[in-house]
Amino acid sequence: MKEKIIVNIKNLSEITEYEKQGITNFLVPLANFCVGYDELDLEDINKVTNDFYLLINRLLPYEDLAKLKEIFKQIDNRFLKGIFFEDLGVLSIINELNLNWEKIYFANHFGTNYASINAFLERNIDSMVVSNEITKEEIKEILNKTHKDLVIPVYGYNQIMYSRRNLISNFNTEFALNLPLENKITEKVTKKTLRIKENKYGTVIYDEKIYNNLELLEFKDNIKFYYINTSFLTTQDIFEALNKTEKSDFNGFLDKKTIYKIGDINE
Amino acid sequence: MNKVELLAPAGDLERLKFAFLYGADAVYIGGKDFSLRANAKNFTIEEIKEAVKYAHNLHKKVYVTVNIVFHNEDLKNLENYLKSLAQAHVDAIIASDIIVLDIIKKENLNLEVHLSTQASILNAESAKFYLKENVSRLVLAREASRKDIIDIKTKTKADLEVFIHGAMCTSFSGKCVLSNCFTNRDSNRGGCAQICRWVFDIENSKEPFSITPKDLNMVSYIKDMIDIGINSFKIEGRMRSIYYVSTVLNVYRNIIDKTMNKTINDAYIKYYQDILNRCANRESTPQFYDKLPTNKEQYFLGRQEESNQDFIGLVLEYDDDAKMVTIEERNYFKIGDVLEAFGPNTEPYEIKINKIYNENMEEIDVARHPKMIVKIPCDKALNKYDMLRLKIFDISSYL
Repeated sequence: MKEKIIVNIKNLSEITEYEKQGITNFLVPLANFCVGYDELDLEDINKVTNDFYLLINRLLPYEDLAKLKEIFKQIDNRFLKGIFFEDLGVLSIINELNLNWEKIYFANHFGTNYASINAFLERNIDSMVVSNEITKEEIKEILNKTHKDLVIPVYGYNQIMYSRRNLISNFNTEFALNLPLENKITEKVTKKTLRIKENKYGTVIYDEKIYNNLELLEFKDNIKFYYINTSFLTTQDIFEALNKTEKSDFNGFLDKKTIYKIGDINE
Repeated sequence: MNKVELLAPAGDLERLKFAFLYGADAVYIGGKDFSLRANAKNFTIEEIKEAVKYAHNLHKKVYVTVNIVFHNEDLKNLENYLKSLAQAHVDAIIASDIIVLDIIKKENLNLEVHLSTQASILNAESAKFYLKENVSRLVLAREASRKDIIDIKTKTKADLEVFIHGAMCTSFSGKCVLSNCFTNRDSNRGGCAQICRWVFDIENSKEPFSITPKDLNMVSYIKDMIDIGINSFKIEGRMRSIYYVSTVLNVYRNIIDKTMNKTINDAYIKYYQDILNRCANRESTPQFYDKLPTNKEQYFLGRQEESNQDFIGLVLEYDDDAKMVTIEERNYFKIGDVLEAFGPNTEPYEIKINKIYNENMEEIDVARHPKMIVKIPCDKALNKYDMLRLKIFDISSYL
C-alpha cells in the first residue's frame, strides 16, 4: 500500500524521512507556479535525487506559461517522472516540447465522474486526480469504469477555494495591518474555522478539518497513487495517521452526498 | 468596428422577452437540469422550444447552459437531454464538462458548444485544447486581464465571450466548494450558497474579515473591448428581476450603439455608471481587466447595500387623446414625486406627478400597492413595457 502513496514535500529533508517509512513517491510544488502549497525553487528541485513528480496547480496567464516553458527546458530531467497540472495549457507545452513525462490532470473539484475522466484519459493524459467532494460509492464506480489508473486523495486538509485575488493582502491594505499571509479565519455564525494561505498569485482556503479518507486504501485496483496533502502537517503527523487503526471521525464527503438542488433536501 | 453581441441572462420566459425588448441580441437560459442556477425558475424543454421560436422570429439567439460538473448519476439522462436541445434548435449550449463534447460528437448532434467560464480559460494554449474539440466560442475566465484576452484573441482568432456586468465569484469559477463544506449544497451543480458573502473573523485582528468582491462593471472599457475584437458581451444574473436586467441592458445597449456610431463620451459614461450602481444597490468596478483587484474591488466593513424602491411601474398602455399613461405599479409613489420613463425606444423622460388616478379614474394622492393599476398624465407618448423609475440622475446635468 505504502508504495502507492504520494506526498507533497515542503523541503528536501522530508524526502529522507518519508523514505525511512517506506513512502517513495514525491510531489514537488514548483515555486511561482503553485498556490496554497509550500513550494520548492528550481535550484532545490534540481538537487532531488529520487524519482518525483512536479506540481503546477495555478491557472496561468500567458506570460507565466511562457516562463514555465523555459523552466521545462532547464529542469534536471533525470528524476522527473511526471507533472500534476491544473491548467490544460501545461499539457500543451509538454506536448509541444515533446517531453516524455507522465501527465496527470489535477483539476481540483472536477474529477467527479467516470465518463469525463475517461474522456481526458483518451486525450493523451496518463492519469487524473479524483475529486475530494464525492462519495465512496462514486469513487468506487469511477475506479471500476475508467481505463487507466487514477490518483485518489486519502488524507490531509482539502483545498476548498482558489482565488486569483490577494485576499489577506487586500485586507491588510484596507485596515493598515500586517497580518501573516498564512492565517485562520472563522465564519461568524457557524464558527467554522478555515485555513487561508496567500502568495503573489492568489489565495487558497482549506477546510477546517483533516479529510481522513484512509479507508479508501481498501481500493486496490486501478490506483496509480493514494495522494496525501501534507500542507500544515508534519511528517510525524502523517506517520501517526497511517499507523492508526481506528476509523476517523471526519471523512469529508465519503458518506455525505452533496445536494444537487434545494428540492432534493425533501426527497 | 466589429459587430458585438449583447448577451443577457433570462431566468424565465418573461425575463427572456424583456431581455430581447431591451436590446439583447441573445439570451442564455437554464433547463430544469444540468444548469448552474439550479434554484432559478428555469425552462422545461417545451419552454425552451417556445423561447427559441420566439427568439428566432426576432432574429435573435438562445443559448442553453449545460454547465454543471457532472457526477456519475447525472450522466444517465444527459444524452437524451442533449438530443432534446438539438431538436429544439437552440443556437448553442454553454458547457465545460468534456463529456458533453464527446456525446455531441459521438451522436453527431447538431449542437454548437460555447465553452463555459467554468473551464477557466486564461491562456491561448488551454483555449486551443478546447478549440480542437470543436467548441465554437470561448467564454473566458472572469479573471482574464486585457493582456490575457488580447493574447488569446491574437493566437487563436476564436470567437470570444466575456462577462461585462454583474456579480463576481471570489474564486475562479468552479474552483470553490465552500458551499459544499458549509451547507452540503453543491456549488458546481447549481447549489452555491454564496459563502463568499458571509463574514469572518481573522486571527489577530478585530476587524471583520471579508472575501466579498464588488460587482463587475465594464462601462468604461466597452469601446476598448470592441476594438480588441471580443465578440460577445455577457451580463450575469439569471435570478435577477426584470427591472435590473432591463436597466442593465438598456445602459449597455446605449453604450454599444453610441460607441458604434461614435457618439459616446465621458459624460454619458458617468451617467450610465451612476444608473447601474443605483440599480444593483451594489458598487461595481472593472475587477481584473485593468489590474489585479485590490482592496478597492472588495467589500469590507461598513459596506452599503441598501435596497431601494426606484422601480415605480411598468407601462401597460398610452392614451394619445387623453395624454394619459396606464401603469402597473411596482413601488409606492405619490403626488409631488419626480419620475423618469425609459425604454428600448424611449430616451429618459421626466414626469412630475401632479395627478394620480386609480382604475376607476378616481383621483388618489398615493399609489401604495404593488401591481395596482394607475393612470398618470404624461405629455410624451410612452410605449408598452417602458418602465418608470424614481428620477435620481438627470442626464442633462452630465452633458
